[in-house]
Amino acid sequence: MGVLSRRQFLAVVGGLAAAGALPRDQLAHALATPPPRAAIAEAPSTLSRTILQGAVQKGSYRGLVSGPGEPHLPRIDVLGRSAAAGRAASRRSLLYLAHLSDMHVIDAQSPGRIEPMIVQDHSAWGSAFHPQDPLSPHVIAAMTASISDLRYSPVTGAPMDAAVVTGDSADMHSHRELRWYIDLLDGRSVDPRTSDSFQGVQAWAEAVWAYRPVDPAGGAFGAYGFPTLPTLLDEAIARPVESVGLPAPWYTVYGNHETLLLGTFDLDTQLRALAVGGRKSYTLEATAAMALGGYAARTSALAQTLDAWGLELGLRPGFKAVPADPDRALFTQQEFMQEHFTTSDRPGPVGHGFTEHNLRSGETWWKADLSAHVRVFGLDTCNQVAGPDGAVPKNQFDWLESELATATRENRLAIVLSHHNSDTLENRAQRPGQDEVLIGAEEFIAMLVKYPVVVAWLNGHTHLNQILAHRAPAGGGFWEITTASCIDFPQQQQTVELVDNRDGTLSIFTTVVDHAADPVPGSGGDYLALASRSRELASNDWAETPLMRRGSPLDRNTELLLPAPFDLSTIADAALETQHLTARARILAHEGGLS
Amino acid sequence: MSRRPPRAAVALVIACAAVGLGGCSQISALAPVGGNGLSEVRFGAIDVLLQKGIAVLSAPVCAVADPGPVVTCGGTTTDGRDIAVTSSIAADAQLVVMVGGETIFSGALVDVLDEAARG
Repeated sequence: MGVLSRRQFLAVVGGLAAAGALPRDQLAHALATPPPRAAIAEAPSTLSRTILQGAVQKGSYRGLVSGPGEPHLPRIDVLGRSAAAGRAASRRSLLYLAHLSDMHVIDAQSPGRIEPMIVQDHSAWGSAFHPQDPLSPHVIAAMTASISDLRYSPVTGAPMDAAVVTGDSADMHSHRELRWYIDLLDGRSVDPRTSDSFQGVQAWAEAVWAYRPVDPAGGAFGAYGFPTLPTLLDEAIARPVESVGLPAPWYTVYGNHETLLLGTFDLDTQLRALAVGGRKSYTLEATAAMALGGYAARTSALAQTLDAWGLELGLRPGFKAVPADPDRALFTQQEFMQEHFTTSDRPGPVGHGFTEHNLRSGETWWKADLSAHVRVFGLDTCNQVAGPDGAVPKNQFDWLESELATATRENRLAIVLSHHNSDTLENRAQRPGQDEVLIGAEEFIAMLVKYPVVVAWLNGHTHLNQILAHRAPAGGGFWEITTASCIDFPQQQQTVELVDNRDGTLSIFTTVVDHAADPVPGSGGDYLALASRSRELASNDWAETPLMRRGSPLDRNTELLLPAPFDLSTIADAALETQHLTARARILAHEGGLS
Repeated sequence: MSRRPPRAAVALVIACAAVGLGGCSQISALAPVGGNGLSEVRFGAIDVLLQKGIAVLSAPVCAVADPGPVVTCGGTTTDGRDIAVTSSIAADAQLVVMVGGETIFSGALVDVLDEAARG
């Protein structure tokens, strides 16, 4: 116990026990005992070890090695002056978060993918095919394990209050991918064995352009030096992928991959049929013609019917048979929100940010109080027509500004979530006749800096770690924190902690998180060995410019300082202790499931 | 590491011609993911500054000079000197980092980025 009286402590425990965390006596005993310091100190993070590219193994292909840990580097761009040296001694945690983004869960055997497009231009279409695609569920499970390991802050020891997900969770708009991502974060297992043997381009000798681990020779990946791994695809689907789940409630927003196909194209009826059908393309010609040709809009119903019969009868070249699967249906915008209600209340919350209001109204943005003092706003910045980048629709802009005025009156710290970042907020594509105003980065940032309660904007999209300072004209401002992805190297996410320095300043600690797999792949075929292999393959996927995505040291482990937007002493220690007890009770329940 | 234009980069009129297709309305939607070129320059410049032990007050903020591909960035050190960076988003970009009017680095951007990521 800290500042709470015994009576207050027991009242909090009684409330938490009634909520079903643990039996009252067991909970009281557990909460009265601080979490073991050794466990906090030993939790793996990039503070103690980083992962770097090592020596060439074959051709241009390199392995990975352990590198030195990186301390938090103070950044004073927004504060505009030196920080007080003694702030570490008096600080207190206001909120401790995990930030996940761009997980890109992939069903690699799905016929609803368009991998052969890399034949046309590998760099341009790099996101259509990665050599590590079949290992994405294993990476998400390994990342979830790391977030679970870091359930107590490495800075203050505070328990994790929440996790936020800033989009691109399901790679190709597939219901199965959507379900896998939710289940993995919820702590359920997923089964990638959708056929008796791996049925996809990486197993087919005809797809010489792909990385085929049984025999990489003959294509660009073989020439680069990608390894021969005869059992990799079998191992990828050999067993269900178990996940420990996140240790805290998680909240999500839309990414462009949950709005358009490959985050870029409209979804037509032909593609919807392909996704659940029994024929998968392995050539550029077949993919371009059937999946992306603007086919449905330009072809007569009779011709489409004849083509569909030809496809089913195996008469169309460039396709091979795979098991048809209705669970691969492409989801609609409404179904994306709806699916988040098929979940458990632990870690919760049901809806993961979306509410019944969203389902009724069709609005795809929301707000939530992550604590009594921190409010988060989840935006949908995705373009509904075409292109990967986004913008802020005027109705969301106005809604957010009104909410920030309210947060200011109520002394709430504000965190904004979106998929797109300030480098990628200029896509104003619209259908003919549409007149919705789409607002770009400059105007959006100018609005945010008017409200000092805005301390952070968390986002993703560009698959790299980047932290930008946005200063207000009269001083102060906020921090924009972009987190990398789970598909491209370095396969990193972050934790973010808001800390009151009790000297009129506030610090945001960002700590980059590697997933739990070792730098060097083992041979066991378990999920960690496969996640490790995924990271190594990703670091050699030259088309995705992998190495720069780590960001600079000022984009990784940092302490981001800014002026406190209001007198933070109005946040009582007792209120924070109650918040921490609530989070610890959830974590104790989570830990009960780890053994 | 080879460098290239930003991820998912080009319109695919070429693809339509190459495969002899009539309907390519979807493919023509492919557009660049923005920002990666700017980020590369910024990362490289910060890597150089920290390697040289320069304390940063305002980290470099980068923009593409009209009409491109030149990228320029500006920042300040804690002792009040200006940071000026010049590079580009083109392949084989060179990186020049100046502090207080003095050039502290000039060389290939890709070498800086690769070295920072290798053990």
